[in-house]
Amino acid sequence: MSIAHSEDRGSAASPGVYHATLLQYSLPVLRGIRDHLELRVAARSPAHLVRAIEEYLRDSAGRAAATSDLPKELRPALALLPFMPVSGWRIEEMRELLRYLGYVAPEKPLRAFLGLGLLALHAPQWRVETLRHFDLALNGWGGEQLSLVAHPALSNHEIGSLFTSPTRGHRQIRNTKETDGLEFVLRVAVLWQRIGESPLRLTQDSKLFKRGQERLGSDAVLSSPMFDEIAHLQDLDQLALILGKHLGLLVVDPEAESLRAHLGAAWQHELPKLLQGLWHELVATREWSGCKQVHDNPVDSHRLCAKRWLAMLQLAALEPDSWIALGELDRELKARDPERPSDFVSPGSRPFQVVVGRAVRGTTVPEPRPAIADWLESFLLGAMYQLSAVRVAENPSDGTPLVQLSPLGRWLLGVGPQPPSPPVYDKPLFVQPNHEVVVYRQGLSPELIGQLASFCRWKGLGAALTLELTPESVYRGLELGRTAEEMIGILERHSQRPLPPAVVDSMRTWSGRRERLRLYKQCTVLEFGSVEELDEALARGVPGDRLSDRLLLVAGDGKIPFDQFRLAGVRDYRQPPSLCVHTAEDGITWELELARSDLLVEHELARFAEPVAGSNSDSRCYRITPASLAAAARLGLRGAYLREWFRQRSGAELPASVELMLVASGRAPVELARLLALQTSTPAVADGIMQHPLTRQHVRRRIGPTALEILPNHYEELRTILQEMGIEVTGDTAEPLG
Amino acid sequence: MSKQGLNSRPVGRSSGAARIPVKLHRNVSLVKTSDAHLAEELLARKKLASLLAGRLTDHVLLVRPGQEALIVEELRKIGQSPQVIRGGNA
Repeated sequence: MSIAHSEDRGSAASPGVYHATLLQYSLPVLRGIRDHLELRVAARSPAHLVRAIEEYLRDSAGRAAATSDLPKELRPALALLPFMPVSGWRIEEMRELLRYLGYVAPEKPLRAFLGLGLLALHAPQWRVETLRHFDLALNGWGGEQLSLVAHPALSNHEIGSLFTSPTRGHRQIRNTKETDGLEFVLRVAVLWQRIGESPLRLTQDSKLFKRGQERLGSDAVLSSPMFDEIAHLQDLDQLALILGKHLGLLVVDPEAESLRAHLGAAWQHELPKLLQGLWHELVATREWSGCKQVHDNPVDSHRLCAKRWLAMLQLAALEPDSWIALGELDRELKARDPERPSDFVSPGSRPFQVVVGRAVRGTTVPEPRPAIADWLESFLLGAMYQLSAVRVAENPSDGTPLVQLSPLGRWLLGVGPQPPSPPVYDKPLFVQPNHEVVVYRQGLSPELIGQLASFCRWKGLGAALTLELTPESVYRGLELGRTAEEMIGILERHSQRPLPPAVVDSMRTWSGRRERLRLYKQCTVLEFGSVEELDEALARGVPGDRLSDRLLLVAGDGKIPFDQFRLAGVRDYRQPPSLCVHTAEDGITWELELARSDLLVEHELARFAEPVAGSNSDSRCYRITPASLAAAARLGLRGAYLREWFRQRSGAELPASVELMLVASGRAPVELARLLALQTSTPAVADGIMQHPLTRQHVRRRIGPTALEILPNHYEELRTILQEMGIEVTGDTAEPLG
Repeated sequence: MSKQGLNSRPVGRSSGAARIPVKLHRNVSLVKTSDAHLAEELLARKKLASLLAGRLTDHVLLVRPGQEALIVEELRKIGQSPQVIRGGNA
């Protein structure tokens, strides 16, 4: 069997990942590989040795020489290497796959292939310093980050059969089924559009919050049954998420801790290329299985990738026009399972059949149909069938499902040529006056799916897809950089009928409304000393949008040429406000220090203070007045706001004189009255008068540490008592108190 | 508006044109309207006014730090659809 090139397998001319991985090896490791290959090359530099190893293995004679000394029992493992994706396999997956192929010690062939440079060890966290690192990596050191990458020339390598006893295929079939491969693409498009509407918040581990999961799970379109479904797949929303991330259409925004929709290049790909990306992730993902059984068993989930590969390799081993019963394939896989139960009966091993009683018509007793593993049914009849990598038919004799690789599947596995893109009909949609868009699947290409998803909202998936145009969906299209005319043009180009005029009007109106208002989020504003300096900056090509005579807004992709400027100050509005307000002795006159101020502070001050004379180039003066406080109160800015503001801007408590005015503006009464007061020399004397029974009865209340209010008309009596006690009393009442 | 430190002419650049003195305001959020009436309309709404620090120009409103999401939400509630533009580098 010869493995044909699949597009992403790389080529001899562009070694790519393998080359980059080998360059991470130390010189002693590269020398070791050189010696294993018996290359006579001077070890001048790592790059020189990498080039020599690569060149040698690119040549089929070189590869033959390199593998000629391999022990016989390791040679069949070579047949696996041409199937490796260009991005490689995780070590544990390859180890597991070799165990399925009958290797009790899979480390042995892997170690031999690494030593010969046929495989390269990709270790993102550390450097391969010695040949011993190969052994350590194969024994589990370094965790799950390690992967193995094959020399690109191996994809052209003539290989033997992976399976010693090829499976006999069925040729009699009925009801052949094959999908258009669009189901997963459409689900990714739905999720892409939904996340574009509203990003999903992520936890610190970049996982979805429960609320986000519920949001996806409750989306009727995302969770709707698949079109032409043979096997039900669970958690389709989660699958769409995984595939969307893999295609680069959903990206993690670490700053905002959210998952965002990104206008990636995936929508520009041809369908086979896009499906190839999906296929890689469908086989490699451990986060999704499509069935509950595996989901509940983490051990199964860990071995799932190897099992998926094995199933596909088994299908690839079939002749192109033959089929295999799913049950038969399941038994083949179970027979290869290194952890199968000891009492497992391998297929074809039943020596005889016991028939009790009278002879039955025919030669055999119908065998009870064994249950097929959930994961296999989900994977082949669910995922691979929907991807159009597998065709499904029925066995005419008993109606059981038969499967084979489709032309796309054979190309994905590298055993067939790339199938042509399906024919695309130019006008697969029509727009209804109620703003609904109906699209037939036959005319869809990834490009059109991406275009429609960027400015229409998905309403339903099925044989015909329904979408709708809403103000929000059109705004989203505008946010992605499309214009209203461009969106209308896309619909016109693919519509079977002219667009309803009301729909076109709506799109233009919605688009126009959006242009009325812009929110510039966390932008940079340059403040110039004068209008002339701003003009000069613009003349020098500084990008920006003039806000006023001295302010220039730099937003979007605008780059600030800092070499044109001398920074007189930098204010970051994500940081707490700087202390820039000082008060005069009266407490109501505030001075703003302009060197430390920002754009906010003057606007904030204007809401509760009045500018006064005394400003200069360094500072600006304001005064708090009852009128300014009343104006602030009308804006909802009361005492609590003012106290907090002043604390942030001056680092001190609000002055007492301003508090006094706040009391006044709060309409709390003050009492103004004539009192008869007794002033003492010390608080102790006042305490004594308050306590002594002869004096206490004449005191109304204490009004301060050394001041007491005396009851009206008790003046003379108290004076006499105090004098009798030997306390001198000075002062007199000017007039009787009433 | 602050002019401190911006009035004096800068020290000349070694490669020709003099550097222009500027004060750099980073991570500022603004609402820009197509007409002054719309800006007034927004300021007249009590909830929106509390999220805005003030009016920089006839067409430009200054957003209080950290209130961007709430502003968008409030604007949508009143039937507006702001175009959100994220900041450049600085």
